[in-house]
Amino acid sequence: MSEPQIQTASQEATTHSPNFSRRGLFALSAGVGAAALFNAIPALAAPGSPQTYASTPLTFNDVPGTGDLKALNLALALEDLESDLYTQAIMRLTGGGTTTYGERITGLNVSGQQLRYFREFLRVETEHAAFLRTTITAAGGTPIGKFRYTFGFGSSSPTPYNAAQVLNVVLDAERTGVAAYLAAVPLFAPGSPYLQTATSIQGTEARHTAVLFGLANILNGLNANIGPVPSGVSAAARNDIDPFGREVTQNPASPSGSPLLITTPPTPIAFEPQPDTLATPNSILAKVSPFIVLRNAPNVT
Amino acid sequence: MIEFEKITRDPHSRRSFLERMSVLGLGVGAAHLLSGCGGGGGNNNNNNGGNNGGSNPSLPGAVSNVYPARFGTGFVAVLNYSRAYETMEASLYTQALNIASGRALGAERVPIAQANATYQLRVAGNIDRPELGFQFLKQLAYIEAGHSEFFGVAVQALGGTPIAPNPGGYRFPKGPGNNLRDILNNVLPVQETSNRAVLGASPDIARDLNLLQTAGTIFSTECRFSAGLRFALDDQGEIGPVAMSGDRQVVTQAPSAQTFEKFKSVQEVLAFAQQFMV
Repeated sequence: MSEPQIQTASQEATTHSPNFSRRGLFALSAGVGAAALFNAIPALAAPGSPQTYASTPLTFNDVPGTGDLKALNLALALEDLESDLYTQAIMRLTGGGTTTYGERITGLNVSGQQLRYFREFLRVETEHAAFLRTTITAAGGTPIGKFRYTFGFGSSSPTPYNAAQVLNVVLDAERTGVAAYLAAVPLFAPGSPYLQTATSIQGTEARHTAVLFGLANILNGLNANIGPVPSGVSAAARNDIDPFGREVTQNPASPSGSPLLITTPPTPIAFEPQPDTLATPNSILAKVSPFIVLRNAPNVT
Repeated sequence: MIEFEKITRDPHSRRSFLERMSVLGLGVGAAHLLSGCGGGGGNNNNNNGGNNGGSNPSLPGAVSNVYPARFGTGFVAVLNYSRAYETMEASLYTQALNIASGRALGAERVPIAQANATYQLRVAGNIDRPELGFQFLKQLAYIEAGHSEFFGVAVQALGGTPIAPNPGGYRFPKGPGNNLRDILNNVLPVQETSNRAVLGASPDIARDLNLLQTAGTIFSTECRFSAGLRFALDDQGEIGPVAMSGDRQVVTQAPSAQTFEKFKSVQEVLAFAQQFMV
């Protein structure tokens, strides 16, 4: 039996595009309102309850602690999300499953390098989360609660993401994770003993990002245009400039910034050489909030 | 030659510098430098620059770094140390790029606008993703040069003197290699040590969070390229961090080798770099 073929992004460009935003998630459910979308997910608490859907973005004020511990909790929020994201991504790529929220994910039963790296990165992100949780607790702090997430891979979406789109979401998440660690630096006490450890974790996230970019390039074909460049988008409006004169732009169909790379053949696509944009804690949390579907429910452990 | 005075006083030079740094993602850091921010703790701090982590048994405490006198003191020493390593990398990677492109070993790096036209892969790939590996190599040569320039300006911003390149130059002890696999395998330990150098020195600038944040963006890039090179060499293999001889750990017990990046002390990095000095 032939393996399901991973649809290339060039094939996807004319359909729907993944992006790491609530707007993008709702775009996939064209015409379906938020309430109906939520009702498609088995609820663990009554809709409309403050303990259910995160109707307002998570902000830095919601992050427990102060000083170093608050900074570590910001990092932990991203690590928890990444851990669950990889879990769901692997479900989607393999035989499917049910998320901790109860969302059913149908598996694509694909194989390939993505799985190898997703499994390794899941392990590492889970280790990061466990380390941060232990460290915060040992220091007398309260770790941020574990949330429940949906990423558009399963029954919450009428058109669950395919493998290429899953990769893009994962890539964007890892980039956001790196940005979160950078954003957290000013939150620590100067000279904090946690800074070097946090930086060491950031470095591993950066490695993940590089590999995911490499996979995205392979998946979408080196030397290939993998997305349409809309007319009227000026160079000034584009976010990234490659030092070799190519413009690395965000997919215009993904305004929140899923990084589908666009280049002009025959120059090979390479991952962006640039380090990460310096975000803020609130901008990081605003970006991930759309994927949090359950906060602080009594039975969320 | 870095002209810090010119960069700060001449709008055109300033804009040009900021644009070059922005391309490398160092625009925010560069702007900080030129606004006079950063380097707030310029006293000699040849220690770990902060708490020793003794209150948390899982954190073994930062290593005590000793910076050679030629690097200066305090934050200037740390920045010059970084600049020295980046300068070496830029030279070595340019040599590697030259050989991979069929150019003379010692050919000067061309202006970035000419890079794509000048550097084309001309040796056997011998790896799974030669296009990707060559692209990384090309980018690395320019990025490390840009990092070197950034650190030099940062030193000047703090009133210091940027460390000059090694007078005799740099070389791979046995040459860069004859095919892309060998070339990248020779570049990789240099690149991986760069990660370790930045992380090892980070506690010494940890009292200036702006400077540390900028260093963090550079660290992120270095780690990406380490992984990228490994991926290009073997896209089924380990992307790191992979233990190198003499590595130090940020925690006493890591769940796995990949959980945390490793670091080395200044002395250990300089000892490693000595083999590349002419």
